[in-house]
Amino acid sequence: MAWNYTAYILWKYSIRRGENIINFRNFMNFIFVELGMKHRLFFHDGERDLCRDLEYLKDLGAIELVRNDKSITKIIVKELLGEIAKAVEDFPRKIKTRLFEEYLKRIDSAIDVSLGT
Amino acid sequence: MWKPIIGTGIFEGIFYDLVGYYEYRFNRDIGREVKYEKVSDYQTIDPIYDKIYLPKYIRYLMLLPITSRLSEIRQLAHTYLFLPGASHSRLEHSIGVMYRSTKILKKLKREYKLKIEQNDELIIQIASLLHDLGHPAWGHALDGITGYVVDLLKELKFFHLFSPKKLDIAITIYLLLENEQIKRALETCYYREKANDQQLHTPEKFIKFIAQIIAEEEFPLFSDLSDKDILRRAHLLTTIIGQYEKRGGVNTDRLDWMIRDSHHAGILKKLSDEQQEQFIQFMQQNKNDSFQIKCHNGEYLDIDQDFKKLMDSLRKKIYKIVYEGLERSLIDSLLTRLAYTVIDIISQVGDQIASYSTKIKAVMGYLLMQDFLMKEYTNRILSIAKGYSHLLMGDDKYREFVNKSANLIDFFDYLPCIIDVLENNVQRIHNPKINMSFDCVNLDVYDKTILIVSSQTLSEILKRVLQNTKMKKEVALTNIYNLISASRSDIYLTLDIPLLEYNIQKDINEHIHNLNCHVLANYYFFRRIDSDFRDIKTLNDLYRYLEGKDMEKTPYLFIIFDRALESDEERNKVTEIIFNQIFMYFLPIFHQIDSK
Repeated sequence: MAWNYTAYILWKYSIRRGENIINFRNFMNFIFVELGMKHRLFFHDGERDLCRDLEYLKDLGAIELVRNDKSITKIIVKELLGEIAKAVEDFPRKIKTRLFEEYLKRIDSAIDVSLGT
Repeated sequence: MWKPIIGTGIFEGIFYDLVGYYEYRFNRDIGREVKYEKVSDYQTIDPIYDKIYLPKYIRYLMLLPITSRLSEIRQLAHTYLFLPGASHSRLEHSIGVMYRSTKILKKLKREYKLKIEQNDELIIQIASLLHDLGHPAWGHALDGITGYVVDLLKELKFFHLFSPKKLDIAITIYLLLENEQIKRALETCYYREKANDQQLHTPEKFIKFIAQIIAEEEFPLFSDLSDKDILRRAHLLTTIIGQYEKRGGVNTDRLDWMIRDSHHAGILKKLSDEQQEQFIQFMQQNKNDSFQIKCHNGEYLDIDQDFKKLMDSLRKKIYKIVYEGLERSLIDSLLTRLAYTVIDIISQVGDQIASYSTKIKAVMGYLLMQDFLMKEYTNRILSIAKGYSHLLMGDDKYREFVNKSANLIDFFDYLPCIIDVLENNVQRIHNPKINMSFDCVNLDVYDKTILIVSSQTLSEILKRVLQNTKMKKEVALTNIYNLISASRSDIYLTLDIPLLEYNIQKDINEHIHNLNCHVLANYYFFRRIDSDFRDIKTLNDLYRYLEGKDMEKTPYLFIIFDRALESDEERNKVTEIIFNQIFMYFLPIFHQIDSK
């Protein structure tokens, strides 16, 4: 599980796109192609692993998931996700970390490159 | 900053020893020493599966020092201290995985009529043999420094920043892409065995394909593997040896270690009668491959749910009782600290006197040593560091931490005796002033005390910290998970153990005469809670989990005192100091930072 990073990525992605309803396929493409292949950062083994994080965030009340049959088609972002993402963003200011910061940097940079600064 | 001492060669000598060890043993081309054409097919005997046929290319790869080192690393690290049979090597396991993977591949071809490419048998055998290539000595004790090592590797442009759960995989990928010995040997296999096919038409692509399988990543690690058909093939082969989270896999790696570890270590006897029966049933099904394999879209494999359920429940029990129990937690917490201190010193020295890639080679030289040699080098490096800690970067707290790590080498030598009496000597002590309980092991014979900050004690501390904050519960839970995920990556830095130890010692010095403490953080605590976190969705869930029976023997911290605590008064003072210092560490985490 990497639900804290998933929350951070989703929130930043949603803010940068200016949308609170996110197309799941586009988001997945961002996670595995932009962040994974282009920025060489892997948090999830694959689609199902990512879905598990989203289910967790749904259970926390941070997002809603829209499905077609069993598959997720859309993610509706709620305010709580922003608060969770901020906790992730602030964490390296409270506690010494090394990779944690590097992960956040790469996520920010992938968002800048793929969605524009 | 590190202060170089020109001319003395104090640290430089040992630094270049490590570089030389890596370069000479593991990075040299052995093409002139081992001629491919002179190697033959071979039949070996395995304690579990009896005769195993090793094709020429597998035999050839086994002759490389980088691969044969696996024969000098114990699969279960220091478990042999309390289960003497647990002395089998990682090479034995790797050969077992190769055997099981080959059998599964043949079964898929024969019974499931799956499309298997001509070279897939060779690929799955090589990937199986090499799946633990980068496994460091001391087993999973070094998983606690994964983040530190991955952080060092991140400067290499090609390098993929994996999640901090895969130290052995990160090092294996580094070796497959950077190590001359294994790269050249794989090129030789590729050309001699005519392993080129339409999809893998260069040796580079062939090696990357093997790396993709070992990494257990569903999406392509390399852009030239993004073709749909190549990925389909990678998914099929990956789900033979390993699995994808949530999606599953046959996982011959797990099938082999469960049967092998239990055979050697006698783990079965640690289970209840009912569990033993289940285990015997599982072993029979496992060994005979008498479980159903499911295949989705000719691409992803999995095993039938009943067998999988049985395997998962037994695996959890083994982890709880043996791999992450009290004994292994103490041993591996000590080893994690020693290795963390040593790698930090190597890295500091490397920053001053060598290029980036040379520094990595020195770190690899240390990590890839055999079990016994790693202890020797740890001892040497820490002894030098103790004598010259004033030359190291960092403040007094850090230097004291290094000195105390050096002192712990003596404790390492005591370990067999301590482990022998550990479990039966744990006493719960209560401090009425702070109304808090700790576990305590008095080792009177060795004149030492070990205080254990258990998961239950931590739960109580967290409750009190959170009573002092106004943070929203979901945000507090996020911060706890941040702490878990950062600690899994770099436990000593995240928990700031040098500072915690320094502060505890400072307070002790003010109240108690002549008592030194050494703090050890338990990586397994974080690994367990991380893997179970999907069921923790509220703070109450968290407290229940921490206070539950499952976490009883996987503590958060061990604090070793260099003499036995003599009286209740002394124990109460010490536990009060420890409580205060841990409380102070946690408090800022739950303090809301203003957006401005």
